[in-house]
Amino acid sequence: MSALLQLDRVEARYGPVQALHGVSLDVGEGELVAVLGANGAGKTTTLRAVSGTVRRSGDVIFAGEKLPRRPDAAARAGIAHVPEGRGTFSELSVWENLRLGAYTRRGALKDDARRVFTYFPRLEERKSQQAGTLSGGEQQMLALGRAMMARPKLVLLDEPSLGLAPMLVAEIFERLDRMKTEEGMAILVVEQNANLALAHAARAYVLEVGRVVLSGASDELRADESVRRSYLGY
Amino acid sequence: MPLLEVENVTKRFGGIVALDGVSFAAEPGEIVGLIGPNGAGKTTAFNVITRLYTPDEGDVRFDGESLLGTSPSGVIRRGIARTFQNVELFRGMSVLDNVRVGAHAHRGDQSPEDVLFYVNLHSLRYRSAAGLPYGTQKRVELARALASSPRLLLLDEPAGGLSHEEVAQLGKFIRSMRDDYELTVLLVEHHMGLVMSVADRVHVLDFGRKIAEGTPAEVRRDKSVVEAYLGAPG
Repeated sequence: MSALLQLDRVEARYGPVQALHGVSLDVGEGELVAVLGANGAGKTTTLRAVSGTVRRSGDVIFAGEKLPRRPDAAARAGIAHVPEGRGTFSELSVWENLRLGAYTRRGALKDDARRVFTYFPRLEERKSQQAGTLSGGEQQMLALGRAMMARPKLVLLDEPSLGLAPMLVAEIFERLDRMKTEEGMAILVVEQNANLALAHAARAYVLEVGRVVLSGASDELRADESVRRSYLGY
Repeated sequence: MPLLEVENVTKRFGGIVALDGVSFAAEPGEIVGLIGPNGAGKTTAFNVITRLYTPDEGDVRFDGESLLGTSPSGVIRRGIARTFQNVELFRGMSVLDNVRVGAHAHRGDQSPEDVLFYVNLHSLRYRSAAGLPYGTQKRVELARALASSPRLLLLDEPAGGLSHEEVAQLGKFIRSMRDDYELTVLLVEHHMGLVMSVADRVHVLDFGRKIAEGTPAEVRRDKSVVEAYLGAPG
């Protein structure tokens, strides 16, 4: 599989604080890859480095080309970033949020919206409702739906399980599987529920203080003693 | 006598009944878990207790006296502090200044500096809150709450963004904090491992109604809880 996304020794900082110390990783076309790590390990920053929403150095190659460090360039190239806390526009309606997802491209929205609604029927029921009044689970669905509206090649997904009930978390991950197989989207997901992430991802990277300390197939990582102790809990 | 009594509280938003005659109580020194699916009314209950919302029916009593005549800022002075599901820090301010806001809202015997040592954030006290990792921001919120010298602490999803190992540490921390600060704790959390390990009693909400209560072990076995919330064991 040729790599859709490739990070080559990427560094990133917030003012004086260096958050990434040379992270290299890759994601293949249509591949679901997980990033694991403790609080502050650099997981969120890794996603931000890809979408250009943090100062970075080092190369990010996307679909064979060097990606400029501008969020709009990342969005136009086909990268959708679903941030931690979802980042939905709470004052806007569900439908307006979805329309904004398609901002970077031309063409009719109806078919795409219909597609999104087959994934998340609740969004259709709540189409005209203000996003801020949705429950946490519905907001996560909206954030994913909005990302789908951009028809991205790659979705960057930060902690989709955050604030969601156990049953809903499982449901969200099933939808991610579908987005991968039916829409052909590649997904790079940061997730604290490592058990679930490794059950759905083909491969994973483990970050510690801004560095990749371990990577491999999900099965291999699940068998790793340190991963089990720190992230899986058995 | 319970420190907190929520009695028959109903809260409606237009046609939606977010809380439907909900009652529960917390005895002094207890850690009480509040669980349930997204949209069940858990955060609404927090917002009623902290008086951001006024219930349509029912009463909330703290230390035997009704809170309904008390303003949100008055609630802090009565000795109730909280954290927020999606982190509500003053983003442009330093960690220390955020914690000072807590002490300013209700001056007790906790100094912001001491609290920062206690939650192990003292070395970050001059950092801007906005740039910190999500899990660390949650800890700043906790410090801000402690700095207001509360008797009752409401924690809204404190495990968000933490890895398995960190959640285990958080559980121990909540218990020692309860002892060291002589707190009563009300905990909303989806991380069942955490709730089951720290809570003395658990109340379960679904669609605004209480469907079960008991010890963690009792609630975990409850059929309606498994169906509404936990899903099949796995």
